[in-house]
Amino acid sequence: MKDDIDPYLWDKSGEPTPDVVRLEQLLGRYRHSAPEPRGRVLPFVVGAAAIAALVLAVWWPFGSEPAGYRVEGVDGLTVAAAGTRIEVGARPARLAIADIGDVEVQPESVLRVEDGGEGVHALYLERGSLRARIDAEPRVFQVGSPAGLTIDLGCEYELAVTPEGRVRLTVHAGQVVIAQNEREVYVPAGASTESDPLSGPSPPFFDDVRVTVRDDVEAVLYGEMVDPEALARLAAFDDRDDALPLFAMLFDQSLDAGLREALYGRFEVVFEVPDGVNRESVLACDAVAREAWLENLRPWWTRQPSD
Amino acid sequence: MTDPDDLVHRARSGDRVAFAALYERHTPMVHGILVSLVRPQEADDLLQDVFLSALRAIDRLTDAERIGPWLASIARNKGRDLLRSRRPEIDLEQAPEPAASQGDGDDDEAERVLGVLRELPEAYRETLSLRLVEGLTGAEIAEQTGLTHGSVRVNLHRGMKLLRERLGGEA
Repeated sequence: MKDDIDPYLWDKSGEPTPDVVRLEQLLGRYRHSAPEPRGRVLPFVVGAAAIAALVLAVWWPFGSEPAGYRVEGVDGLTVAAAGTRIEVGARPARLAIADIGDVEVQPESVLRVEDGGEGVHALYLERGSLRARIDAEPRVFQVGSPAGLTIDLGCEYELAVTPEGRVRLTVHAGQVVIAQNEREVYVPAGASTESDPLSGPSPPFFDDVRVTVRDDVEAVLYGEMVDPEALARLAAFDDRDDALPLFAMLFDQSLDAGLREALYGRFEVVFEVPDGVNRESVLACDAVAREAWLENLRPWWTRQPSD
Repeated sequence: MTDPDDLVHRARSGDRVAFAALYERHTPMVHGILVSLVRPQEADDLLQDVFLSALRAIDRLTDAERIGPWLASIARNKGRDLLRSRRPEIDLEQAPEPAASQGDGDDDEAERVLGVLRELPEAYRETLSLRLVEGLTGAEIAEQTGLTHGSVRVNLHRGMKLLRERLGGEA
């Protein structure tokens, strides 16, 4: 779809149309007024140094650990190198991941340190749960599990393995990709997903998603037949958060093509279609098309780190 | 002009002047997003909350270049939280909109237009608010929110078309 924008609307060049002038006149009264010393601004700025200093003081207690990861909370184990299997006892354990972050492992969990190759830190969670806090370039830290490989894109997240081998991923800050059996799902902060060893990750949802959206997605994905009314509602979405699970479905080749085509039609209306991306490349689950569109959508799904 | 990355790094280390500069630089964008979600008076109040939250969490902003999109996300969440919190108590359709601060005879019309704008799909209402309320250009909106120029163009073009339709062909 071609969108020829009025030059004035874009950069205030050229002749404005009368209705745009009128709208600017009407709505401009709500504009934020120029900075002035209002009541709360000054104490808020003055407090910045103290708060930031406090934050920095508690941040990152660990240094570089080239020979392995420093371990706390496991009897008889202080450093874990590749190949080490860590069985956590009744109290939580903690691993310092070089100088990029740390991992808190919950009691009764079992974790392996793996050789991730040059520049990559890799763990494998066999059982239990962990919380990772990583401040690094994307894809430097990853955690395998029976139901998927989580790839850190700079974040804080929790990963839990159930006794049946299913996995639940909850992202608190930043963003994570979880992949299993050729299905890859993007999960931003504030969202979570579950993954099955066989079928791989389900579409992610923001934790405060409307119940109706979750119900509609489940009716479409897991019902005996696709519920046409649920699909129609999903394909009429206009909320950015609702689009998160739908984006995963859009690029899931195991789903019915008609279903994905209906979703594509709505994405095309609501969001910009990036250059080089079209219906065919999306329906073919082209990785470049997915990444290009994800790049455009990511700002809509970015949430603040949880307080 | 001070490098935005440098401002973020300095703000992280407790430089209050640097944080104040970030506040000044991004206030129109944050305010525009809030106005697209909540009433103007509420937007003014939430503005401070957005920057207080940012201050508390700025050490966890891993990519200094993303300060704008990050602040935008905080603003969206604050606005949405407010909407959720008041939903059970106030029926917005019935509640009177507080009057705009500058009375010039067009107040009712301005409130009506803003109400229609706030009913647009999120991508459109936010971008139009930044353009028509805050007066940012398309390029400034893209730079501050992290959206591509193409996305902003689409949102402005389609949002304007929809706004015109819903206003009945005239502002």
